[in-house]
Amino acid sequence: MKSLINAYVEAVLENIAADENMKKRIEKDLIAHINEACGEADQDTIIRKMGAPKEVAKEFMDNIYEDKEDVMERLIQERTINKKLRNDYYEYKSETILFGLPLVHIKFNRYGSSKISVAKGIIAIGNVSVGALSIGGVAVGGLCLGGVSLGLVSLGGLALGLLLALGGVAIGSLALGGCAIGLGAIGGVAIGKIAFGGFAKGVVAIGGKAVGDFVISGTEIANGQYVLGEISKTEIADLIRAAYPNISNWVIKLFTMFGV
Amino acid sequence: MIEVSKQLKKGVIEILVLKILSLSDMYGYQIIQVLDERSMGTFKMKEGTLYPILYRLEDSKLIESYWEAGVEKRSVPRKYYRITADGRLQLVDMLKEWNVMVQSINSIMDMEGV
Repeated sequence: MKSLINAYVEAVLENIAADENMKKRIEKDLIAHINEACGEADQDTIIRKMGAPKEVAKEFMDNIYEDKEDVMERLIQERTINKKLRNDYYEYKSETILFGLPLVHIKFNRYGSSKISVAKGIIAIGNVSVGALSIGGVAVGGLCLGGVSLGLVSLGGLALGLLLALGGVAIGSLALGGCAIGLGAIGGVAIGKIAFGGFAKGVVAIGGKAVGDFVISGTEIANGQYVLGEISKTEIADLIRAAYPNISNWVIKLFTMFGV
Repeated sequence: MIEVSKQLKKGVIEILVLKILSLSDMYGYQIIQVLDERSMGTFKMKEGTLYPILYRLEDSKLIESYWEAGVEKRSVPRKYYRITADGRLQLVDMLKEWNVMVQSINSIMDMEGV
């Protein structure tokens, strides 16, 4: 509970327009002053004698600064300092820690700051995020979603995934995207060991225009326009097995999804 | 009238504070008491007047402060002010100027019909 002295001094300070340093100075001295006076009378009497907080504040304001220019200069200075001290980012960190990292860490720039905010956590969300589940402008980690994402499984404008990449440009063991580059690649432009797409280039290439060693290619119907007719699941599976006899069934299943 | 008195007092308070601190170290409340008693109530100073003056004197290094615990048990420490060497020099200068001013004012006040 606040003491009577502290409450009184606080009320005085509320009515003083001064910079923070000056306010702290006044606070310290007023508390000391009342305590000094308490040697001669009780707190209530001393405070009553001092007068209403507003009056005490007014007296200070009349005397603190030499002139108005001085007040303004100090307040402007303080505003500038506060602006510098103000956090240029929003940040949330959960109290739960796992493997030395917060369970959730969110960190974003704000006020148009150009500083780079990095969120690091099991779940990380930020301008730059690093985490098991990472969401951000640039996302790095396990499962990543971001403008640029780099991880085991990545989804993003530019996605680099060690296992799986999905994105505008996707590069990964298995890549799916507008432009997909990977061991297995599926996309508008697909380049990989096994490539499936509008334009496909690979050891195994299946597509409108396919270039490779084991190829199912479409027919050119007009200048640069290709149509890939219906292909059966068996055709696709046989083609892949011809190139890679020991390949896992799940890869076959994945690519035969595009067959009829 | 009150405003005139206030302005006149304002002009001399710094000298008075330096003067009494040149006699002994004192804490804020004590300064107010001494000024009140010695001036027979003419200088009833408010906290809002005294402390800004002390700040100015302290910032100008004419006085300095220190905390000292009270003698009694459970007493809170007091903030004492003492005059510095620069403060003493300044006080001498201020008193000289003060005397010149008083003489000048008196010579004007003593004037009779010109």
